[in-house]
Amino acid sequence: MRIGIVLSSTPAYSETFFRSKIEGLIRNGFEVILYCQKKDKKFNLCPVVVGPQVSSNPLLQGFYFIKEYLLLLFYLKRVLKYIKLEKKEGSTLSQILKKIYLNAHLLKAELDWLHFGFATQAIGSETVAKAINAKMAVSFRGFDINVYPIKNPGCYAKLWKHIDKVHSISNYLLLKVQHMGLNENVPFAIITPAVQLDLLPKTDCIEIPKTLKIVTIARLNWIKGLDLAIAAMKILKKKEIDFEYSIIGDGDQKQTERYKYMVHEFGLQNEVVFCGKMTHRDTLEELKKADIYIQPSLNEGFCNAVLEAQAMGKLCIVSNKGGLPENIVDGKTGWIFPDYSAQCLADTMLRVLSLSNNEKQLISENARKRVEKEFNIEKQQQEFLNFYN
Amino acid sequence: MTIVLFDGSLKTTPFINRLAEGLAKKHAVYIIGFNDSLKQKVKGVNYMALGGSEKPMDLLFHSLKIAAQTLFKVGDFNQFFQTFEYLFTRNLERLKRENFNKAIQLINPDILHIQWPSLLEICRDAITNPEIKTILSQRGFQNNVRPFVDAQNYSELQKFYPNIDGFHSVSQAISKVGDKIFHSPNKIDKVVYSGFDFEKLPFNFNYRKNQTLKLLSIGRPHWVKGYEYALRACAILKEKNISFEYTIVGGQGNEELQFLVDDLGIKEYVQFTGRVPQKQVYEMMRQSDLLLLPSVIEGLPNIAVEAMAVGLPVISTKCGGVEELIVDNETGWLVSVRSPEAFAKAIISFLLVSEDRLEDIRKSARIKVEAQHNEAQMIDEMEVLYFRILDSL
Repeated sequence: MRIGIVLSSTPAYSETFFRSKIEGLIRNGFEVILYCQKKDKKFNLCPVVVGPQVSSNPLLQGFYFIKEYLLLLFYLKRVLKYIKLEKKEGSTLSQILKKIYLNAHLLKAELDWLHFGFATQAIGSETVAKAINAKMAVSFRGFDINVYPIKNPGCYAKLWKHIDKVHSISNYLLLKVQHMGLNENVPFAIITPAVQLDLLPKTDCIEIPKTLKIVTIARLNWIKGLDLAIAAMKILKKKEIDFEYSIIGDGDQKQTERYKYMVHEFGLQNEVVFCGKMTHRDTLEELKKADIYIQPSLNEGFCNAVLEAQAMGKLCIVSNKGGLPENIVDGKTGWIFPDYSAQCLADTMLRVLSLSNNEKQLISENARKRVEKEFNIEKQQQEFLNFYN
Repeated sequence: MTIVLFDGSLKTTPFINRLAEGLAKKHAVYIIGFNDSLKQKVKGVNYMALGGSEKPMDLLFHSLKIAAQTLFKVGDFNQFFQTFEYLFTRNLERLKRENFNKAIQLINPDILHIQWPSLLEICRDAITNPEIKTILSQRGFQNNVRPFVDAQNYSELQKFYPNIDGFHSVSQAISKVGDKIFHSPNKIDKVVYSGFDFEKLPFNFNYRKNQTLKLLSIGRPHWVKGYEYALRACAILKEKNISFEYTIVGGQGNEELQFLVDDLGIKEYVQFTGRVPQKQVYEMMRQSDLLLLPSVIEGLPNIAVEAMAVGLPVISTKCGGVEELIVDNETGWLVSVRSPEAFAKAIISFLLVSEDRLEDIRKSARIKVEAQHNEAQMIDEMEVLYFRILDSL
C-alpha cells in the first residue's frame, strides 16, 4: 500500500510522532512518501517530494507555471477530473489554475491514501485525493482546530465534505471537530502521541529536597498559560515555600518580555528561571531534576511533554483544558486543577507537597505504568497499520 | 534658544507636535528624523530629513545633501569623505549616525530633546559632546518594562544616563522607575504632564447610563494593555446575568483575544474593531458608559485623560502614573492589576452608583485633567526645564 503524508516540512529529529509512524509503516511493508514545502537534507526515512515553488518575481513565477502545466500534460485525465471537482465546489477559473499549480506534486502522485498531517495543510487541497483516486485522511492535532478556525471561520467547510477518514490525537479534538461540522459517520481513529521509553532517563527518588523544583516545557506563547503559572508561583512564595520554577522554551521578543516582566513585577527573579530553548536531550535532563511538572495551558491537543513527564514518573499537575484530561487520570497518574485559576493551581501544588512519600510514589508509578502500557511506540505503530487497513 | 526634537521619524506623535508648535512661538524648533514622507508639517517648525533606510535613493540623496551642507558650513573635507566611506562600505548604521551628527552640527542647537531611550545609541556622540545639552523623555514601555526584562538594555541605559543633562518624565511614577537606572543628587528630572487641547474634547453634559451597559477600551492589543483580564471580568459579568456589551477599539485580529472570547463563551458580548480615527473615538466615548483600562503597566495613559475630559467614567488598574490621575471614588475607580475578580466587582459597583454621585465624579474628573494636563502649562514647564538644564554646569 502507498501512503502519501503531507507536512509543511520534513519532521525534525525530535518530532517522534511522525518519525515513529513512518518507521512503523515502512517496517510493515507500506510505501511511504512525504510531500513537503521544505526538505531537510538529513532526513532519510522515506522519499520526499517537495511542492512547487512560489516566487515573488513575476517572470520567474510565470516560468514555473508553464513548466508545471507542461509536466501535468502527462496526467491530463486527473487534471480534468480535478477541474471538474473544483468547478463543482464553485472555484473560479483563476482559482483553479492557481490550485492546479500549488497541488501539482500531489496530482502526479500514485497513492492509496493521501494523509494531511495537520488540518490546515488540507486547506486548498480538499479535492485532490478524489482526483487521483486515493482516499483522504486528515490528522487533527491542536492549533489547527483550537486556534486557526477562530481567526478563519468556515475554513474547513470543504474539508468536511471530502474527508474519508479522521485521525485525532485526542477525543476532545474529535468532539470539537464534529461540533464544527464534521459528519459523525465519517470513520475516525484516536491515536495519541507515544513516548519512546528507552530514551528517557529514569528517576527513582520521590523524596522532595529542600528546594522544590518545578518545571514546565512550553514555548513562550499565550496559549501555554504561563501567566497563570507565574501567578501561582507568587502564591507559593507568599507561603514561604522554597522552590525554583524552570520554564523550558523560547518565544518572540514580545512574549519573552511579557513573562519576564511579570516575574519582575512579582519579584520572583530568584525563583523563576527562563531556560530558553533546549535540545530534546537537555530538556529531558532538566525534566529529570524536577519534582513537580506543571502544564497550565489554555488549550492542548494532547501534549507530549506531559506524557514524557509521566513516563519519567514525575508528579504532574495540568489544567482541565483541551486534551489534557485524557492525558492525566486525575488523582491516579497526576492531578488536574479545576477552574483555571492561579489559586487552584497553587492549592493543588500545596496538596501534592503535603502527601506522604508512599502516596507520591504510588502516583509516580501509576503514571509510568500507564504511559508504558497505553502510550508506547509499538501500540501507536500498530494503530496506524489498522488505520489504513 | 534653538531646540531639536528627535523622535526618530519626522512623523511625530500628537504630543510632540503640540509641544513643537507651542515652543516654536518663542524659539527656533527643529524636528529631524529618518523618514520624509510627511503630509502635515507643524506650523513654525523647521524639518530636516536624514534619509530613511527603507528607500536607498532617499538615503543616498539626503546623505549627500547633508554632507555638502556641512562641508559648506564647516569646510572639513575629512568629515565630507566620512559620509562617502560609509556609503561605499554600506555601513548603514554608521551612515545614519553620521547624518544625524552632521545635522546636529548644522543646526547647532542649545537643547537636543530625545523622545525615546531606543534613540540614545544614535545620539551617542551628541550626548558626550559638552557643547550640546541633551534631555531624554521617560514615557512608557521603554522605561517601565524593557530595562527590567533585558539585562543588556539595562546596562546600556546605565552607561548613557549619567551623561544625559536632564530628564523629562510623563509621571511621578515613571520618574521613580528612572531612578532605579541612575540616580544622583544633581540629576535634573522634571515631571511635565502631557498637554491636551480641551476645546477639542468637549464635556458630555447629556451622559446617561444605557440599559445595556456599554463598556469601552481603546488601544492596540499589546500585552501591557491587559485586555485578557478585562475579558475574564466580562465572563464574570455574564455569569452574574449582567446586561452589557464590550468594545475593544484596535483589538481586531488578535489571536489571543479572539481565542479567549470564544473559550469564555462571551462572543455575543464582545466586539473588536480595527483602528478608528480620533474623531470617531471621541464619538464612541460619548456613547459609552464606562472606559475600562485593565493595563498591567502604564506611563500615564492618554486615553484616560481624554475619557475624563469628555466625561466618560473610567475604571483603571492601579499602575504606573494612573494614581496621579485617578483618585479612587473621586475622579474614577481603581482596582488591582491582573485581577478579573476586582475588575468585575468594580463594574458591578458602578451600576449601583447614583446619578448625582456619578455627575460629581464626572465633573471632578474634568476639573482634574484640565488642571493637570493644560497645554500651555506643558509648554511653559518644558521651557523651564530647558532653561534649568542650560543653566546647570
